Amino acid sequence: MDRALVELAQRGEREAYARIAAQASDRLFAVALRVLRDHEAARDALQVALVQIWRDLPTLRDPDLFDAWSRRVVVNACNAGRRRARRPVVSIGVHVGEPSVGDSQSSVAMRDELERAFTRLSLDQRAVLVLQYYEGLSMSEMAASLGVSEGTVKSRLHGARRAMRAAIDADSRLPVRAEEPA
Amino acid sequence: MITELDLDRVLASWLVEGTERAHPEDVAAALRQVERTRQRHRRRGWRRDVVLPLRAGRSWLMAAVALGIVIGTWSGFGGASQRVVSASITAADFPWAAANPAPDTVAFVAQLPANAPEGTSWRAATYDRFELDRWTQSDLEQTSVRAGQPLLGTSAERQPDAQTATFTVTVRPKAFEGSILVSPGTPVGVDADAVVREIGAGGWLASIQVPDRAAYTVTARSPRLGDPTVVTGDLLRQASRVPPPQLVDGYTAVPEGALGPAARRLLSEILASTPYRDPYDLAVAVETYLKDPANFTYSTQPAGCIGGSLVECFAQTRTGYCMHYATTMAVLLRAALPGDPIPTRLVQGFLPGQRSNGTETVATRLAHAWVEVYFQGYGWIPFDPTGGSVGRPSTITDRAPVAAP
Repeated sequence: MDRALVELAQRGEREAYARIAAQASDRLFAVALRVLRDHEAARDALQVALVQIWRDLPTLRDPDLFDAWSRRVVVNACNAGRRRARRPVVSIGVHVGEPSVGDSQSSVAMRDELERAFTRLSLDQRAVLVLQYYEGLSMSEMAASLGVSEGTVKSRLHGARRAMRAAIDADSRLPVRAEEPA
Repeated sequence: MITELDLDRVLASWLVEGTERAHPEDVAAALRQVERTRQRHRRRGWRRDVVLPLRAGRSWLMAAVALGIVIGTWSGFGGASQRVVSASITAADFPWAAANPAPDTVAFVAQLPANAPEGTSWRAATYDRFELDRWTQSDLEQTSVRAGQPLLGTSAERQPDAQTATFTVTVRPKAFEGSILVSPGTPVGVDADAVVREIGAGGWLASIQVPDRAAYTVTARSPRLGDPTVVTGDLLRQASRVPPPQLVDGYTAVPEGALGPAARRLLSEILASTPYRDPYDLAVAVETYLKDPANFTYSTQPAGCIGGSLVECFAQTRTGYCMHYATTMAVLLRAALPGDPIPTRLVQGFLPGQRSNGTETVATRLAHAWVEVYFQGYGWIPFDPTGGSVGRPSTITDRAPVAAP
């Protein structure tokens, strides 16, 4: 995010913030959707996060850290929304893209398996998986984004990966190769 | 058994799937809420507060109105205290700095009781943070107070009854109608619903807002500074230097660029003028030095002093009005003892007006700024360094030390 824009918004310029929101919303929504696996819940989380980012923006000491910081706000909004609504997380998933190359009956089945395993994880564990595999962050970037130590990130990631592995291994009928490009 | 590498691959391709974008209506809904949402200010030690600057060249009336808007016009009762946006004051916000000054405009008229002391200044707002060309209020917290209820519930501004004189006045705002309450001394009660703004929760008073109306009656306490049983120069010399918790950084901060070569030279001249290094004697020394017409010239139309540090500019041009004098004193005191800044704040208000038959008429040209220095156990003690016989003399006894060491 453009540093000058962030600084303007920190000084209370709402127009600058409108531009920031327009630029950041797709990315924040994508993170919320991947963590929550629920379209409506992700929409709620995005709205909450955008208001919260505005409100707390003056507390961001280094405008260059806006991206990591805003990611943390949206992950927290996912948590808060879940606490507030207590809505059951249904696994309607993010199956909106075109089926990928090599997609097959078995990979769809595997997706269901992944979905089920993922939604059994805590939101903290889901967040580290999304930040690592979707956002492609390093350990230190994840720690900064989540506001926890790298040790905590590592242990969450370890637990999350173990749970996902168990889910995949449980269905040994699924050849992992199916995910590979044809 | 799936390998680590395969697990990575599966998770990556599964999580990356999908290209959904945010719904524009959700972003729009959030931005509508942003319009109604104030930003949260940092607690101590924060460098930046949200400031909506007042622009130069407006009349004092406009500045007063703008101040009302900036600190929020009367907003009714929100219940609990909440954080708000700071006001700011610059040298351009004084009536004589306006393009078409109307010096004889009446700012407000006040009905005073017989016991009201003569020559009391009127307070409107205080500012802790110096930002080179302006003063702002950090960590502003506002609390709604019902008519007739104590204004200073937990505020640090409360003073012991025995040290103050209490009197009640009725104020009729004229040109100064920006909803900021003016009061002789520290306001403790008003017959209107009010919003009290403090610098930090339970901190010192920044300003009080009352709804726009023809008149309000305010009860105020004025410290009995001339009473040697309350305060004397010697008592202030011995005051403890331990800062109270409400003393946020804003009261001692000297921003980068505040003092240039001319201001540093001025500070060393002043330090050379006194052998003492306690806050009280330093405050008296700075005040005396700035007031001396041999050093500085009072003028409502100073040349230059646009942009940059007000202190450095005043030290260079040696010409200015209350805002320049008061700002320079407040900032030089903060910088006088390296590593041990003396807490100061800027007070915005009015000099005493014309009194006749219990009615005081205060003209906009009496708009004034002065300095208060914090002394543990005594609170904020006023100093008025403005030259040209404008600044009021101090009433504190034992003002000068008995003898040099």
